[in-house]
Amino acid sequence: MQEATTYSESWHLVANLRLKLRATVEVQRQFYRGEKWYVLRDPFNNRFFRVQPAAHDFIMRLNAEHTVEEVWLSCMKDFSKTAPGQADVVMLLGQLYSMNLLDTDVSPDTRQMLSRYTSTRRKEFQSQLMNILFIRLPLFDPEKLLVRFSELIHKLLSPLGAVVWLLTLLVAIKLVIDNADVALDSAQAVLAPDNLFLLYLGLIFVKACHEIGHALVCHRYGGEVHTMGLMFMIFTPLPYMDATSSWGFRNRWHRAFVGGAGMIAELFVASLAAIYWAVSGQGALHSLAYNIMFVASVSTLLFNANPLLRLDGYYILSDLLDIPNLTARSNEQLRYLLEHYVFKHSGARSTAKNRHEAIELTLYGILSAIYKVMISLGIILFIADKWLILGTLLAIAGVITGVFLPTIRFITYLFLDGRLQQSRRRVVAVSAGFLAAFTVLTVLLPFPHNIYAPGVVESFPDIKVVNMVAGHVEEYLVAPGQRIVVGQPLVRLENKELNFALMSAESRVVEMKVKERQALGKTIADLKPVLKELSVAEASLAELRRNEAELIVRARGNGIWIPANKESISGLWVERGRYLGDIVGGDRFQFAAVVAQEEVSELFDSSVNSVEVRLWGEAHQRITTGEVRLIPYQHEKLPSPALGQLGGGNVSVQATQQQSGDNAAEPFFLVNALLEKQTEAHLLHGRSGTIRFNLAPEPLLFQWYRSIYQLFQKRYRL
Amino acid sequence: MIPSREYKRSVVRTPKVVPSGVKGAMHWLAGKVHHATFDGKALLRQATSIHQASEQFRIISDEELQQRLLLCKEHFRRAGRDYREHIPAAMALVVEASERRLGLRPFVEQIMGALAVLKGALIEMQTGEGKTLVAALAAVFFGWSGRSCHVITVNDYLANRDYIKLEPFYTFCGVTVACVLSEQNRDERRARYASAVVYVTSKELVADFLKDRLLLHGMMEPSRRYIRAQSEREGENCPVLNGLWSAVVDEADSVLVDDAATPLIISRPVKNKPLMDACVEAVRLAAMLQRDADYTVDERFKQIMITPEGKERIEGMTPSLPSFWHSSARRDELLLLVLAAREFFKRGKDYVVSDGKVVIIDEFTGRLMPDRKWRQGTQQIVELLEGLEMSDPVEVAARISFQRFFRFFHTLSGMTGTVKGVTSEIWHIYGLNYVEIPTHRPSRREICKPKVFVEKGSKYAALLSDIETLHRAGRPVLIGTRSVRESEALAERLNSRLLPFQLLNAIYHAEEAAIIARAGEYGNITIATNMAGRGTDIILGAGIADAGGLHVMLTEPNEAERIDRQFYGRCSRQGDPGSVRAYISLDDVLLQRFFPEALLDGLLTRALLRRAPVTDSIILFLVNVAQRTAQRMAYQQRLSLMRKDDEVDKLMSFAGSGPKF
Repeated sequence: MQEATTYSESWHLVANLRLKLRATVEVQRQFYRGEKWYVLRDPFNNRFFRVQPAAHDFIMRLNAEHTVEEVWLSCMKDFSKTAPGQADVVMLLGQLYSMNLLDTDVSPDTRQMLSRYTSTRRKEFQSQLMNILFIRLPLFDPEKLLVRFSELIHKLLSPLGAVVWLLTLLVAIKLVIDNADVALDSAQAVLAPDNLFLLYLGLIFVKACHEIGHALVCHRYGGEVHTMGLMFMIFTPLPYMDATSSWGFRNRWHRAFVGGAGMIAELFVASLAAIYWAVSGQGALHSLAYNIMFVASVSTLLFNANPLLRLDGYYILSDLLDIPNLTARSNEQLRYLLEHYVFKHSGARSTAKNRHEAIELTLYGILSAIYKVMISLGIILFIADKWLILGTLLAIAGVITGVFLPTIRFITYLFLDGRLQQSRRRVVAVSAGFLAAFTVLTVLLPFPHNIYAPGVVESFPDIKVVNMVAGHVEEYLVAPGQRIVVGQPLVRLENKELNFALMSAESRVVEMKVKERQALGKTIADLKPVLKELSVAEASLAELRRNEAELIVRARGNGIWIPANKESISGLWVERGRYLGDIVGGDRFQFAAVVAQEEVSELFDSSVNSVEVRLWGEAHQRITTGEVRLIPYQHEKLPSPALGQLGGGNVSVQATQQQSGDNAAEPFFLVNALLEKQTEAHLLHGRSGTIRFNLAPEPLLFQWYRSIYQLFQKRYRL
Repeated sequence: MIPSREYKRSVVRTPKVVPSGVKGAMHWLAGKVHHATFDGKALLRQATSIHQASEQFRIISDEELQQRLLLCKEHFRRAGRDYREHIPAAMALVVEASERRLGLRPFVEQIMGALAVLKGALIEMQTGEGKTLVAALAAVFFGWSGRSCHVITVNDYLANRDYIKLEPFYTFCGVTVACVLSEQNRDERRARYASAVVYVTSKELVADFLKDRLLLHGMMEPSRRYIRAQSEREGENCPVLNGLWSAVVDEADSVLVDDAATPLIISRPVKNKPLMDACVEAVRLAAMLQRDADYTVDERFKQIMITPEGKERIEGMTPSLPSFWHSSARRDELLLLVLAAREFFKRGKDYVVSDGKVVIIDEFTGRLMPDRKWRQGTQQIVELLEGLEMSDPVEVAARISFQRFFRFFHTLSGMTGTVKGVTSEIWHIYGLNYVEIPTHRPSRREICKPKVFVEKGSKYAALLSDIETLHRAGRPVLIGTRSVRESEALAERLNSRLLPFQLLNAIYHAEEAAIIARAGEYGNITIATNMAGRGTDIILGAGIADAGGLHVMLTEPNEAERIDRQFYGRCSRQGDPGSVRAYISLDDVLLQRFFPEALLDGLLTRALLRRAPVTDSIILFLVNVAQRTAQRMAYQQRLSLMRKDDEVDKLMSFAGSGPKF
């Protein structure tokens, strides 16, 4: 049966009490989304409690002369339509009391008070432990200072101040744009180790200004700031202050202004720093100014202004949307959606007041959830890159608090929560269905599994023209692209040394021949060694002659001549065995693909179902392949520089090797796939594209597991 | 007025919050360790030596025995220092006193039980092993301490019977004893509660406790109450209870577990004209709403959903309601109350009309509950729907659940026939360890294989023929049913077969005790609900033991195996022979509740009809699963109730200190 609220089973506990609001409690009227609310504030501990007008009417009538029941009855008589039910009253009184807003005539339950106090303290301590990366240390009360400088603050935060702020900002933006190239260049060096200290100084300064900004604006609109202290963010001390009293502001724009004040102050500081940086010369202050500028702008844009993190942006958004507790509310909204639409739970109630708010809450809930996961993953990966052990610990903690606990909570909610009792069957069915679908999709159903690799088209058969003798390139004898026949000279080289060696070899032969004659005539005994020497000399001469002939590089096959280098290399010295060009012209083509190491084992192990190649610019043309050969040893030289990063491809190459850009940073394996004869696609030697190896289909889970494992292996050498 | 005595009148132990989460797990583990390290053998040895030691007192005179007993009493006053050391010596004297005054010499096992009770534990003693005497042995010590001791019995009859039976024994030991019965008024009760040991039912005790609290107007703190009492005249405003110190709970599993969640409510009628006006109007309006058109009914979860058309119609009706009910939430609440009363409250099943009044029928026992009223609104609406005159709505003045109440005792101990399945709960909520007491003589109970049927018809047919056979063989038969209605249905069938039988419904305890005491005689057929005739020994007639003793038949499995076993415990007491058999059918409430119809009506029915080999075992297994699940669910429910109470305490801390009820 539905929970009744008009009459409460606990009513007898409160009916005869005489209660009233504590004398010190301040009450203010506020409008949220055009709805009237009353905010009760306890000035002693700066806590707030928001009630609706009906509840406010009731609370205001509470007094020491009448019992709760009498007050309730009088409310019922006077505001019959809106008066709260008994259950509401019981709840309300309990909440008021727990916020220390109620005076009672009976002595209160001190044991409960104490236990509440200790449990709050313990929770605070626990949350500090859990948030070991964000410890807060309150230091002093800035209220007095603020009061002393009140006049100044009011003068500062005036239209004139706004104009000054805007002008400074504009000037700074102009200066930075003027010096954009220098600014961008220096940005590279910001995270360099020798700059970290300056960066940190900048950070402290900027954050101090940020917090002071909050405090000033909060004071300007009548709030009080009682705590200022240090927050240890990832063990890095940073200032913080407590401007929660702004929550009591009536005007939501004021509240938003307090929230934004930090960023406004930061931007101002950043502007000043930018101006100084632009006009000053090199020096320590110059660098500091740059760092301040960097920190203030980046942190403002990435973190503070971002409403998806619970920083300033969040509170501003929450104020502007007029939805307090945005995170909690959006979570509730998501839960409502789940309960209502998936579990068909009839008791599910949306907390959203209207359609508009419902959409906002849903959007915010989904976005922030995704963002939260991403940011925590990012932080963990970032830290793990630097310190593996700390990163692992963080990751474990992250997995426990971010995945494990919520999962358990979610499961208990699904199966044990009393709220879902009546839709339990559906809940179980839906969850089982979801699990089953998930299992089928990821564990049982095989999904296509492909390996992609970049590569280039090569003519097949492809004759690489190589010079067999070193020499200066004298001239290309054939223009690129010309058809040639076997034996046709292609390049003429010149090698003076070879010429000299030839000459000296010739003379040597002559010498030996003379010696031979002499021996024949005079000393017959010497003949044998001389003959031997002669034959050696002749052999070397023959060798040199052959080499000389090789100075004319000739075609070893028919085809079209394509020199390796576009620009002429005449006059250049080429070592023996230098690749000079190709004779392409075979009627077939092959695709030489570069397969990364981690993927090659899969290629080796599993059977490849089909292979297809797509060329850049002709992605719609699927080119099928014939025989695929995996060349079973590691390569380091890419088949074409076009595949390397320097050439616009995505294989990383060694940066040290200038010019060539075809030395891969990591060894790879080469796969040659013979392409079928094509009509549509334009197969041209040297065209790049990608090859897709269609492996045997495999369930997604295994695929994911392997990729994650490979990621870890690659990043952390596990 | 002795200040300390006056002080303790309203002293109540503040129970710790029931641990949960990690703490709960630790507490659970602690319980396991506690039980594992508890040395039952040592306790048995101690009991044996006490038993032997008591022999030496056989020769001393009554006067001397009494003198020694009174001497012992001094050691135990206010549970003085080292009082535990004196227990063995004193126990030996008490054992002898029992022999002298009751003619019963406690067995070693009973002494062991008493020792365990003194430590504050839940003891498991088979039925018929003499728990009454165990409670008395322990209560003497509690009585000597000078602090109140309550022995909680299941019903008034047992309280009175035990009191009368044991009174000479207590008096001999120097302990005042009394029993509190429902018909006594407050003055009488005050006098009786002043005794050291009080026999009382839990219901009476809790009601008196709540009434006292109401009188004190929130002056719960004993010292404050004492000061106020000084300034006031003695009289009606004086509490009747003498404080809560120790309690020995008989049938602890039923009191502390099964019925623990039921709240005891002290209510008072109030004039609430607005509510009554609203009810009249709402009933008139709801008459215009039609089932399925304006609202839909979910029978399973007892829920009513209003359709969009219905909503529109209700919108139109709103103006004629009193303005307090105009807000949509409140209006719907009221109308749903009417619709729920119309759809779910059936005359004859949920209530009867007698003397122009609506009398509620207890859902489980099927008994009439003239004092019970539905909560505000519902009662009036049902009266209106029945065309009766509206009674004043009752308002809760105080309420407390039994489980909360029993946590107020300093020393709580319990006795039960079977602890299986409740030990962890008893530890979790009451912090009681459990001790198994061995039987005095080995049990000769034969548990026959349960019979399984497709539906009730065939089950009853088999049941009847079995009864007839046994009856002709002259064996006494005790048949256990789950509800009064069922027992009546069975009675009718027996009637048509012209079999003589006795029917017990746990209403007239004294008569029923007499009947059930005779259930063991030649050829007697007795039908009883689970609660009927509890605590009464069934003594076998002459020659019955040779014929096989009493045969117990269970017509339907209960929500807990424990309850089944308790019923089995009606036979073969103290080494008598006996046999039991359960009858299970697929349409039993228990199975229907936990398993889908497709399984029961389809698969299992077919398997059963074809006599597939292991079907019986499967069904027995399912029964077991259902019982476990039911127990776990009930436990969770009690636990959540407990937590909710704690929450209310927290929320209501402005309403004065201490637990709120």
